[in-house]
Amino acid sequence: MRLPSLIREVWANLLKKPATVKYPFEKLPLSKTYRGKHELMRDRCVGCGLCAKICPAFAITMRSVYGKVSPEVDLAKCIFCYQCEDVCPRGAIKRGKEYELASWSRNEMIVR
Amino acid sequence: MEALRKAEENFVVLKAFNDLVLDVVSKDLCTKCGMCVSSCQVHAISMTDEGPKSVGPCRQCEACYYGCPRSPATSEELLKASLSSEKKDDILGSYNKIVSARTVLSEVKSVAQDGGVVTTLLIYALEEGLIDGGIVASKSTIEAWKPVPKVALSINDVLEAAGTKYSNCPSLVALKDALYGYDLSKVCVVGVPCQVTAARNVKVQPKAARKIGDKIAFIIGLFCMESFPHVKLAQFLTSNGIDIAKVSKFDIKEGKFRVYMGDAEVLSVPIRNLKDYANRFCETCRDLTSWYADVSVGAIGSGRDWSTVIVRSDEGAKLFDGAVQNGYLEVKDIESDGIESLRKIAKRKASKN
Ligand SMILES: Cc1cc2nc3c(=O)[nH]c(=O)nc-3n(C[C@H](O)[C@H](O)[C@H](O)COP(=O)(O)OP(=O)(O)OC[C@H]3O[C@@H](n4cnc5c(N)ncnc54)[C@H](O)[C@@H]3O)c2cc1C
Repeated sequence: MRLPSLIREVWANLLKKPATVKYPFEKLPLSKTYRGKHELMRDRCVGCGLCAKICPAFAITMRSVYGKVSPEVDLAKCIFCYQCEDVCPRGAIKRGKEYELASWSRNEMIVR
Repeated sequence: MEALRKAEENFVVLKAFNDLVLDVVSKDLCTKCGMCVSSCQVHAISMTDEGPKSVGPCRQCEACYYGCPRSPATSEELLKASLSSEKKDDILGSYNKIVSARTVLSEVKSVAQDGGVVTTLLIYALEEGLIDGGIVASKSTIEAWKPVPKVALSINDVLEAAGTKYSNCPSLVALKDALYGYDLSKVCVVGVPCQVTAARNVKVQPKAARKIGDKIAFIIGLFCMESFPHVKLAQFLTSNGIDIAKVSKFDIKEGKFRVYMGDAEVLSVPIRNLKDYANRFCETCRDLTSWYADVSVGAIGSGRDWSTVIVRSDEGAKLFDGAVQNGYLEVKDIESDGIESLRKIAKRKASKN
């Protein structure tokens, strides 16, 4: 009795569309609050350093570039909690949608 | 030596909360508007009746200092440049048009101070979805006539907050609840000139808490000659044999401070008798008509039960004209002697202080 039901099951599943998405060619829509790679808005940042102070993973360092202090996020350390966005008084850090962040070099893991 | 000089040049003076205390609070300039509390992202400031108090470690982000309407960093040029109005006026601020208006909604008429324009604009914006909520001054349930900051999310909330309380209210503290508690993204701020300046500051001043400014959709300003601390107002009434809990309405009209119980007027004294009771920080204010609001509303210049409305910006025009076109408000041209008397009183405030 068990075998026919099993065959029926297999037969039904063979004809079904796959439940998974063919990932690199096809992508799922992201949620509105998705936490991807950071978008840093230079014109808004005044270099107060709150984001670096609050970061629980010590992923943010303040660097001076041409006399302007602004944050650098090390994605290799980042845990994507986005407390930096919450704490930024000037709204200079935005949640990005980019999530393909693998890279061959550590340098490329830094968002400037 | 050279290195020392270079280091000195690069040394930036941070304006932390203690600088705010030094430059504003200890000089009796603080208006207790509440913007510093909302600006602080590490919740280190709390508002008391005496002014802002530090309740946690300051992280020196400078947001409170640059958002403060009374801080030396507040730049009038920057604020003025943010308004795209046709007419520039030194006394009434820059504006597009001045009209008289009043509400047509009967439920507003019974509770509003003058023409009910502020309450009606809020109702229109809420119903139309232009805003998610409003920052208003509601009445305390514990102390009679003490204004308390409130986030109005519904028409009932707005109606509850209608009517003028002549005490200063730290309304902008409620911005914190609105943005981080209720997670609103479009709010309308209602306030007196100092609060309006603070709200405009966070929209235009690069070092202020621009995150808050992004979420302020409209700023409605009230005309304001001065305000009275709640304790002193209650004292003044007691010395005149009136219990503040029984008062139904306060009003300042034609230079007189009037107190109503039920429908009867129980006190009418010239406003100059109350000079000693007014807030000290009002002495340095020159702004009567909320120069940096999108729409300013007040009583001076229009007849009984009408409000004078000054539309100053494109957003203000969108809000006000929308409410008129959708039949929430009726408008008429303001009489020329209305503008004259408004100008006269505004000039008096601007030159007195
Ligand atoms: C302290 C103070 C002094 C004023 N002085 C003058 C004056 O000298 N001359 C003049 O023409 N007009 C003055 N006004 C404005 C006037 O009293 C009316 O508020 C204005 O005409 C709007 O009328 P309305 O009927 O449209 O308001 P309503 O529809 O009744 O709405 C009033 C709104 O004001 C808000 N509000 C009330 N009290 C406060 C407060 N203490 N702080 C912040 N927001 C508050 C409420 O939240 C409400 O949304 C003053 C207002 C205040 C608060």
